[in-house]
Amino acid sequence: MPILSIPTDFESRLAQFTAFVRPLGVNVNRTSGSAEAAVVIAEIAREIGVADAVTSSELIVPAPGLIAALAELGVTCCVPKSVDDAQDKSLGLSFATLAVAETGSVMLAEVTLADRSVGLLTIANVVVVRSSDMVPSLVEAASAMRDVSLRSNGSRYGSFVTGPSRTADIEMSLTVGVQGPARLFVIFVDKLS
Amino acid sequence: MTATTAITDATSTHGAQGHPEEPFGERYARALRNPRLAKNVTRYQQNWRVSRNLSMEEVEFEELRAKLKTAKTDVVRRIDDYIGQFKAAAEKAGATVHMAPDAAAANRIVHEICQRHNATKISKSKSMVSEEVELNHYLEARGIACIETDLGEWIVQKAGQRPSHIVGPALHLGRQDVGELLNKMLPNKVSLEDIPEQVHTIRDLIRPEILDSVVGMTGGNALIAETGTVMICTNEGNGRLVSSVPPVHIALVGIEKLIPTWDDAVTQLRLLGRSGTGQRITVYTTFMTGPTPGHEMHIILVDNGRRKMRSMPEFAEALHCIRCGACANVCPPYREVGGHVFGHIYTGAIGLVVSQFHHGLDSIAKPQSLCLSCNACETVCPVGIPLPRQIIDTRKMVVAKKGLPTVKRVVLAGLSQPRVFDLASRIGSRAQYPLTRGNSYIRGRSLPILRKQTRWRSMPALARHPLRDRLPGGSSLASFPPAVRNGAEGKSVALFPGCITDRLFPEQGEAVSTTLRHLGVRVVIPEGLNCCGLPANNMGDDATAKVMAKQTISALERSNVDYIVSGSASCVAMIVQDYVHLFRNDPKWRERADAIASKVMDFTSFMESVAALPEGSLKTMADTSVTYHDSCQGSNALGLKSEPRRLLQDVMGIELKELEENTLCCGFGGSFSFDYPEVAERLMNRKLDNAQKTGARVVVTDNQGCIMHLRGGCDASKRNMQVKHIAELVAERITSVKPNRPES
Repeated sequence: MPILSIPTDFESRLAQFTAFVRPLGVNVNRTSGSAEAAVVIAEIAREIGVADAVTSSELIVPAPGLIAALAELGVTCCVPKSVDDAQDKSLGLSFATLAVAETGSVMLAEVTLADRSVGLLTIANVVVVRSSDMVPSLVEAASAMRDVSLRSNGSRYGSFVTGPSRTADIEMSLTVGVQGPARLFVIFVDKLS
Repeated sequence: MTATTAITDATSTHGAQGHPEEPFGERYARALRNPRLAKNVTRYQQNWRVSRNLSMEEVEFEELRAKLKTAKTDVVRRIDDYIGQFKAAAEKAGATVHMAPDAAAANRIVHEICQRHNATKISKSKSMVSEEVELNHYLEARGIACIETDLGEWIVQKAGQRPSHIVGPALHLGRQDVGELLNKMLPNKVSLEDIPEQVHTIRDLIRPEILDSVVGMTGGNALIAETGTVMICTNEGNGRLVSSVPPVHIALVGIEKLIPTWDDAVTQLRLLGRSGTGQRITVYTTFMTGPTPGHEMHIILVDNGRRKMRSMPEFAEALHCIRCGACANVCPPYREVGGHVFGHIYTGAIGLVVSQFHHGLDSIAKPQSLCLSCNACETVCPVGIPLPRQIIDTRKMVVAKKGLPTVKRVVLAGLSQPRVFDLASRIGSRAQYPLTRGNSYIRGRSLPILRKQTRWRSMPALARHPLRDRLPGGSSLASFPPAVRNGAEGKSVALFPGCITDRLFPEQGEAVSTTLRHLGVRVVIPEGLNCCGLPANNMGDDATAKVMAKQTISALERSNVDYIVSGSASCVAMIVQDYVHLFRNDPKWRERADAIASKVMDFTSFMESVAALPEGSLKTMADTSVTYHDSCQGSNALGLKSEPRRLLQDVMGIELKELEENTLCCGFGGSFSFDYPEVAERLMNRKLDNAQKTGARVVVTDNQGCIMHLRGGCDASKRNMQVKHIAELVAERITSVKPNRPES
């Protein structure tokens, strides 16, 4: 069924992803590895004016190298133990299951509520995703989300996130930054370590 | 008028006992008095149309909506199977699923959950079902505060109003209204102009409430049966917060929100964002299956009239609704009066259909009369709900219960009796002289009884010699040698002029006949022609509509012709689309209606697909530029878009200057323009202003009601514009072209 034409290679998919979400205010970067990703994140932290980032444990586990590189660049990553630890923190780091070229979305589906709260409650949310986890369409993404709904333990809760939080409820005039993060950064990492 | 007055003027009294509604007439008058309302709604509609169209270009809309319609049809057919499947899967994941047969049950269940957790407040993200069951008032009367966390819902709650739109609850308000509201509530001054400041102020008020709530509530955009998953589509982030932070999450959802599989969820997602807000996808699309460990999740499946809707074949398809609000976004009367008038709790076209099942027929009896059957809603509905027809069916139920006003009963009785109608028209065509003084308009602006109707548009005079005198029933008019070689040569066509053409604009009927004959067509004028029944159908008089439909079918059946052509797009839509519904329970008449429908075509379609004149074949040297008004029946019902343009531009070589919002209704709507002259006038002026802006002096269209309405408006406001039927332009040209083959 010809719904939407989706490019077949990663570079084109990334270009489409970026084209779709840049107008929504999302900052998209592609890096070759953890070290380069850490530099990008450290720059974001510097721009915001913070030296620590509340960090989902789901990023710590696959990317110890990234965390270590961040520490060297002066950014301390703290894993939240509860929702309160993430509440209104200036910078949060999340790890996405996948990214969706069709819509410019990232999928966040953390097992614990504390990790979920990073993407819910921080003001600037940086989402790290493996380049190889870019899927073409909502069909593949829905399949992954369906798997989340059938998890044997932990939360079966996930979101496709497409931009920072927004509203146009007053006169259809767009305001960014409501109850969700006011800023969203997506960093594709070719080789995450 | 100050902004404060604007808010309070739009207010329904808010209180623990619910939203007692002002009488409809007062709501209507109040809406008309509010200068900001139509401005705000117009801006919303126009912006939505642009982004919706842009985003829909990326997908195959028709294919997607057919796919979703199939899934939803199955859900409605096998609702209990899907409820069972969903319940089992959700409970397996640890959720508690409650069935609420009615509003009282839904409210009681929510209250019990709150009581069990000693909750004194509940943080809610957007839930139209909670509005439907009037949950807030139920809980507040029992000492439980309801915190609306969606920005628009928060605003209307604080303003003491209901949401005026399914998706944009506060779209009827502007920044001044919001600023004044905040300044009344807060000690610090808030800007009346700076919207981000207003948004952030409200956000900061809401946030701490969510974070210390014990109970959070969401609605549900879909319930995925195969895994027991609740899907919500949001933008602000409050939906995710209220379903994550409080230890108790309640999802309050109508049973019609079920969809079978994740694949169906993808189809819905591809349509919902685009249809609702012109977004490819909303910022957060969240899937929740069972509670977060350590938390509770309650899913309340609400019936409240949905099963009743399902049991009535005329209305069951309304259960396919995915609550995108698109129907309100294209609705012309909605634009002028807003959702507090055009609806009850659910607003827009869908509200006119579902309200009787949730809130009783009386709740919607008056609002439904504001629908002028332009069919715009059906063109954008992402699940293809036949809303216009369902609104008429609702109207028929209202009329059956409450009757029709005497004037309408008398008019329809007259219309349905051909001899009476004929006599009355002939008497009228003479008796009208004191009002027309021989002109083609009745102006009568000095007569108080007529002024309300004629101040803003003149009425047409009855033709001294109606079409049936000029082209009598029973005539067979020989074809002429074709002016241009074309696909209609040698064919026979019966002419169905429609009663407005017959009695008011016979020259347009002649134009159709002349054109056909110069195409080499033999034209037959059937005997016994009368009204197609559209006025009766649209007024909700089912019985009289059937009488006139049977008369029309019988008259047309008698002509043994290749085609039946009408210059009235609305008559064609009635015959071709509405007769089958009219006779849905009468197989014999249904069959006869189908047979006639297969031959009936509007003039433009005949020219396009039968005559198929070559490009430039009717080009003249005349320097004309025109603009085209796409009539509702021609465009929305019959789907004509490129056909009239090809005829005007390609075949006739006429310069066409497109007018803005070319498919927006002109405001005629049949008896609508008499029942609601204020709205009809506003819509007419929009159309004429847009037409004038093009610089063209001639407005062309394909429907007599529009012509009557727009000509009347031009006359009353002395606008220097002509309004013509497309057949008149064709006839002018085709009669001046010499046939290029020798007469045999």
